[in-house]
Amino acid sequence: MHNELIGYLLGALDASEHLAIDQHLESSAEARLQLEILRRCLLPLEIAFEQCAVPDGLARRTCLRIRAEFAEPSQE
Amino acid sequence: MLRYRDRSDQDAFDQLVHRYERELYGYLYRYLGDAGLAEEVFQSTFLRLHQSRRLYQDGKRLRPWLYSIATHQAIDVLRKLGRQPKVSLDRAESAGERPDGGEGSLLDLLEAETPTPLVEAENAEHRAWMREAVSRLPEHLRSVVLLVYFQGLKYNDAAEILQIAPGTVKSRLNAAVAKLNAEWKRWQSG
Repeated sequence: MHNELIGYLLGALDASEHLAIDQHLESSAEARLQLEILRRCLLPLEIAFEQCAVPDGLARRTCLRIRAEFAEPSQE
Repeated sequence: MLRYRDRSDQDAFDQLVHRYERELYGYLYRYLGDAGLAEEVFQSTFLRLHQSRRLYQDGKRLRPWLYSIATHQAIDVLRKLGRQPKVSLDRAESAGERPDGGEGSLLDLLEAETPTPLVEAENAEHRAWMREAVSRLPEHLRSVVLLVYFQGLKYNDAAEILQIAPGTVKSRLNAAVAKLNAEWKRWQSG
């Protein structure tokens, strides 16, 4: 259950697993307490929250490189 | 991907590269901790995808396959350089809603609308600490933290990428969170 609750907090469960946890939480005060403890355990990772900047034109450069590498006729 | 595999439709391939640009580059940047290396591996990942396109099977999901190629490419690059990863913890946008912090939590500090210089300095220090702590994790724990926590992937997708059982992903993530949290508490009290 512990592992499932982390997945629940992170959205890592599939839909049926998520629903099962929802139902379990409704009926179990202990599970809700565990969830809150885990939520707090994850807080240290939260502080690392930053957006990642993608270099301008990365996708375009990648496409051009692949076209260039595979457009050359064989010299054999 | 099917259009590209069957008809060599270059536009379809270009669309794929653009669609995964932000997500996959973010993953590689976090994994490698270096913008130049991340770009190089991003390009080599799509190069490998192009070379392997005939192996793509109908119904196969592209995302885990792409991550799997990217992860292997990143590991190869680090191995060649004889380097340990320098984890960057910029987080993916796709990871969804995050939990609220309690009263007086670190998250509250981060969410302050106009952080003071002191708060900014503390945040930078905390990030640096966490970057180091994640870097120190054994590879088998670090990879699940990056995929599930920072990339926001499902357990099942991470399992497919790492070629391990979903239960193993769950237990590794649990172990990683417990380890990081214990170290965090020690650092905070030290």
